Amino acid sequence: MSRWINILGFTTLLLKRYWRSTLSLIIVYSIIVFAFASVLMFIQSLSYEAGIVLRSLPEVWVQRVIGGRLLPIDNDLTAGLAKIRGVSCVHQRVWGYYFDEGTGGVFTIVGSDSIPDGLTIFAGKGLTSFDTAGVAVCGTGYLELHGVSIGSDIILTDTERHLRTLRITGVFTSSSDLITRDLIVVPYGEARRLLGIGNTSSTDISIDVTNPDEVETVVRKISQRIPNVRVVTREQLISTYQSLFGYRGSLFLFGLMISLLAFMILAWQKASGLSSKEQREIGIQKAVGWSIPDIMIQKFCEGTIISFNATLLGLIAAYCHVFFFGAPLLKPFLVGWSVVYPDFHLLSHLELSSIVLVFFLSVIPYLAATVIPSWKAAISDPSEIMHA
Amino acid sequence: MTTHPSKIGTVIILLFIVEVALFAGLLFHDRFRTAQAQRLQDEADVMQELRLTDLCLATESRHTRNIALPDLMAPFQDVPGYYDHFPSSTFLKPPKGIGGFSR
Repeated sequence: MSRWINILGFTTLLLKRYWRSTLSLIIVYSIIVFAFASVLMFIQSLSYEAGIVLRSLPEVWVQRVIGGRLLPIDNDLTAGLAKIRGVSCVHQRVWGYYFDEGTGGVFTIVGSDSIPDGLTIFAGKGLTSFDTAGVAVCGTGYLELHGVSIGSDIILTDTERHLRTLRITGVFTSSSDLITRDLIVVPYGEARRLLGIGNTSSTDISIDVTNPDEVETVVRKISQRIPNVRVVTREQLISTYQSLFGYRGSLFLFGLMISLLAFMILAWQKASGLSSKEQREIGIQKAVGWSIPDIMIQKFCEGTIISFNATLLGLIAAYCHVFFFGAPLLKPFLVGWSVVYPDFHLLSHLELSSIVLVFFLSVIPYLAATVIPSWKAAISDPSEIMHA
Repeated sequence: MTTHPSKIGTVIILLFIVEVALFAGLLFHDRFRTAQAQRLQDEADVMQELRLTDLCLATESRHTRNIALPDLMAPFQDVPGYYDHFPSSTFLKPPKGIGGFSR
């Protein structure tokens, strides 16, 4: 035990002696870990949130497709869909895009008659089935671009160029920007007028299935009975997002892996081409009685102190960057350069496997890159090393 | 003037402990945040009530706003010969089986 303590003491003295190079190494090392861990945390947080909120959706979605284009779907189909065994609820969705000429932004208009009050992500009065026209609930995108708030009147243009005045009765708070940023929620009748969708059709249809095991059967029956439709399941929606984050994250990680590799090559080169001073040190250590295992332990301690400190600093910085400051270095690549800038707040979520991955990719290669070349130097003859 | 190894060692060990404690604190701090769980629940409620299929990750174009249920021709619908939306289109991969009517 005292042998280890003595070697550790000697290592700390060496680190103090070369504190400038040690500090610069830790800074560069931390920056690389920071970049790598930031991407992991960013993608993992989005993926986690998407996985949870998408789980609450209906199991099946039906869209009408003619000639490769989406068209409104007839409401008459609803009765036929409701008769399929296993279907518990059929819901006609009315939604579409609204180009705001004043700002150049594109918003999403959604028809609804039920936004419950009392949600933490909502302020004001929700919509009910008694609201038929003249009211709206907005996300922060519209509010910020137009400088309006609850109680303000807004003017939207319908497809026949008529102006519609709506009073904002409620707003979604910024904490839900990831799903509500560009929304303008209005009663169904108002949505139909604004989007030009007649009373006999809807944008698409969502279907709740009682038994999740029957989803594939329900999908098959819909595809067989109704022509020209695209049927999408909830699992496909979720897998789209999981693969999206995997794909996008992989693009970033691929670039960062190259940086990591470049750093490791640098560390290897530095360690393998031990300077004459370092070689002489090893020679002196051997000459005064250090054994090869002693030198290995000393180099291992040095590498461990540097790599663990740098990795932890990088992880802490990445955590603060992503979850406290909202990932300002990464978000622009994801959200695009649109007028309605999605300024979402990331949920802090980090899995143990990611931390292990970062440590594995960061610490092990560095230790290998420092210990192995030192071992090569240590097994050489001391006089040979000192005369080299 | 020399510094005793134990002093530097103590500093390094203390630094290490502080870093581990700080990182562990950050991790566990969020596990107990009820506000975060409440927000997720409320978002799920809104998604369910409004039957929203997509997250508002990018609003540049229709196919990146609604990536899970996109319009099949959406990338080229805005203006004939229009440049592809950047950067969201570059980084967004279309869902599986987007080329056909059914997936």
